[in-house]
Amino acid sequence: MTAQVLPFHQRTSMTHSDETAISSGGMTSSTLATIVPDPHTPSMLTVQSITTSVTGGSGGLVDMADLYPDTQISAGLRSALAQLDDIDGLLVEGLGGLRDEGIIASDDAVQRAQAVLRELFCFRWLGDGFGQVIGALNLSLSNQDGLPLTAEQIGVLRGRIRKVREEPFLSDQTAAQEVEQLAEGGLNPFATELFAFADVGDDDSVR
Amino acid sequence: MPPLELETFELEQAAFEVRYPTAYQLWDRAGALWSAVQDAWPAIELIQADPMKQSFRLANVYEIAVELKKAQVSSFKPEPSLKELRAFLDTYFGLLVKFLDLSVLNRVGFRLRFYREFDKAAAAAAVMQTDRLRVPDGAHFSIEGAVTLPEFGLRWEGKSLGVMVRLTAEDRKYDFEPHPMLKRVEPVHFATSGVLLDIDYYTVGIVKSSQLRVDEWIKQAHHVIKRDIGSFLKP
Repeated sequence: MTAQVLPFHQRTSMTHSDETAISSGGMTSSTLATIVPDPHTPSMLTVQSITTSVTGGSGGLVDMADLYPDTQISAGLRSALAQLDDIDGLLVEGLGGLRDEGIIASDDAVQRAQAVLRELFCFRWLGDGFGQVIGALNLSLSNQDGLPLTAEQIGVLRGRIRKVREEPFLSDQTAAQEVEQLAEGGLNPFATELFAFADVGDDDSVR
Repeated sequence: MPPLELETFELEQAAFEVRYPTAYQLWDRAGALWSAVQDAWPAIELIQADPMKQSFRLANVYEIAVELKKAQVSSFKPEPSLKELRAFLDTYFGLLVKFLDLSVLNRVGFRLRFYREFDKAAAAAAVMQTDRLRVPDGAHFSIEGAVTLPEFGLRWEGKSLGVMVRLTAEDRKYDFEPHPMLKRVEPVHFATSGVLLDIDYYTVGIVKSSQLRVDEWIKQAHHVIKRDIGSFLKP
């Protein structure tokens, strides 16, 4: 067996804490091959690397658009995020309507938001959590049965929209908390048919 | 000297790493985590297991390691499309988030190492032709020397993402002496020279785990690297 074992990546300064670690590939004396530096090569003459930092990182939360910058690769994701922005804009319009123009103008904006929200249901593939929140938002509006939303209810909807906009791959558990927030905010995010079905089970009578 | 173009290199290693605030859950849930990984990939083989770090190998292709503050996967000789690696990482990362209860990631990194063989002189010349550092004629530092294994690197960083690019001329020597009992196995001794192109694409800010779809993120990173690396290699 070869006595000297030195993975090739250790020959250069590639183990900085600010680098993605790489494995030596299990290059140990028990594996088929080892890579050792060429003893005839004078490493003293190696030109040192140049490190530059252009702007420096913010250290804050990375925005989704920065994390997935290529619109062609993540067209679906970008569409979903754009639609969430549209919905948020329409809900802001709804709030403005309540304040300035009256309930009809507000309800009109909310209805347009609902139309976009229905399209967002097509993006359930983004994750179960995403689908769960979008479904609950849809149900919250459907279960209003034509009643216009209050400013508080619109605020609660916006909070959930912003959450899935910022974290579209949220877990089931987080999604359940978001749905709960809708319920606590005076909306009904649950399928009424399910309650009707559950009521059948509670009924002792034979039909 | 032929131009250095990504297409002329062979992808020899890909690595993915996430760093997170100290995940003490590892001490409680390591067994559950690795059982779940074993359920998904029954062929995993234990390399090392202690409270601070556990590492496994899978099918001589992947090396997986989890520590208190970071988790890493390396893939050796990955397929050019990285499709299998992306699928593997997507599932594995889901298990990691679930069992270590990771909500915030301090850094997400994706690193690709490409290698191309040259003869010894050509390897150095190939790196030097990028012309990123002037080498004056004559003796310097009181040395009558020559550039032998040049290395150039730079870090390109924005507010959310960064890339480190490094180009290195390398000599590699492979030595394998079989155990005397292994009479049918021949020793292996050979050396190569070449150029290593090492690209590390990473996040600079905080990423919530609920923002990260690994499959999608690597697909993007891989695409961006292939698209833009040529700009760094042109003389």
